[in-house]
Amino acid sequence: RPPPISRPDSDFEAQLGVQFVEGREGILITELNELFEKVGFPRRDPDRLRVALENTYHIIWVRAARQSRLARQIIGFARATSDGVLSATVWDVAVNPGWQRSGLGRALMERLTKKLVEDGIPTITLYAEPQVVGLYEKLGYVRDPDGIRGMAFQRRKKEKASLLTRA
Amino acid sequence: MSSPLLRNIPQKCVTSHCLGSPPLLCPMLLARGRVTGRFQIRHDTGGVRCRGFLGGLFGRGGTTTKQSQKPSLEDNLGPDVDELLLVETSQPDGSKAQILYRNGGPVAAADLESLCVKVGWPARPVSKVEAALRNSFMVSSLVLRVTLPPRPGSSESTTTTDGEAVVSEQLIGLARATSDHAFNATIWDVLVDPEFQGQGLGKALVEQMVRSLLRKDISNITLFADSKVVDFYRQMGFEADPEGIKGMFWYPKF
Repeated sequence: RPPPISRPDSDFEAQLGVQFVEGREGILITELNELFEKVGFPRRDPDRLRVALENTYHIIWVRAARQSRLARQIIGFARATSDGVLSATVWDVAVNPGWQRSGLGRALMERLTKKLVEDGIPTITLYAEPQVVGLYEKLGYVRDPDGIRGMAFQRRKKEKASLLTRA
Repeated sequence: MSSPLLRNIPQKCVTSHCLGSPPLLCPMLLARGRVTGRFQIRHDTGGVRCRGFLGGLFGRGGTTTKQSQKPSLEDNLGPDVDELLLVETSQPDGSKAQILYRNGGPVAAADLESLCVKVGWPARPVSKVEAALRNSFMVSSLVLRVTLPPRPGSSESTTTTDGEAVVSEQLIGLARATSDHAFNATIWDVLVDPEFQGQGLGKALVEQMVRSLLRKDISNITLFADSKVVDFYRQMGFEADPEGIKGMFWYPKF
């Protein structure tokens, strides 16, 4: 039932020198914000970002496996909020542009989805930008199943781009 | 304005919009001669014309402020209160039936599940529902409360702030939201008891929840809507597929 892990952790360690880490320990908020900026997400207020991570159900991120000056850099990131039993939503899936097209995005999503499925959460959702809908469909995500539409409350007073967050 | 009824109406009520139809539920009509201080209507219905008492006095629109575009819930966040009176009917004997919006406050999982069964949703294990409620960032409910005036010499165990005796409270609607407490929220399980549908209560419930979330600075409020209710949410200010962003489900069972 959970998605198969198409490439094991050892593969990524051997071929890219990166490892997957679970949980927020070791994440520097400033570095996370830098990653977000690189992929075109809004920079977030650091204190609020800290609160968001503290209230996130599961986090998986990617860092260099070996100690080096790049060791602490966050190469990839994904998180999911949830009530722990019935539903979950994936947010902020990001891979450093320099590391994209090497399977890290898919790998992050496989591992995050697997964790949610194994925890028994039946409804796992996300909001996908048009260009990544296909990627998620390959993983087993279905868009607008049965005509169900994802909707967001439209804010008027602030820049839309700075508020809209998605996977 | 010399109407005695108008003198008693708090300023907030004058600028809000009438519920419109059905006229039976117009709080102004219901409260004729008995307007209480905390009687607030929370309903921004945008294009709905106020056909009630206030509409006649202030002209079409029922509002004294000029608005060049459709008002958003953002424009009127309302006070930071956890309980709002939405509808009230009084009987000559002094008993009252009230429908309240309540934010937070205990919701029994069993009551919620009974409601789910009533609207025809598949049943879920009560223990899971219990955990889901506990782990939700916000749980908003609609409660039908019946009260009696206090009887001299009696010691009712539960009273309202007005000293009325609470005879019963029944869960007739619910919405809950999960959130990271900072940026995003997703609204789930929006439901209204079928016996009470068609009165604008679902709209009031969701609007109040959105206001509550906005007051907590949650800027991205999302949900997944059945095709039949997309327009319902659109009217409140939700947009489907904003910027082409698609909602997706992992191997949905439906």
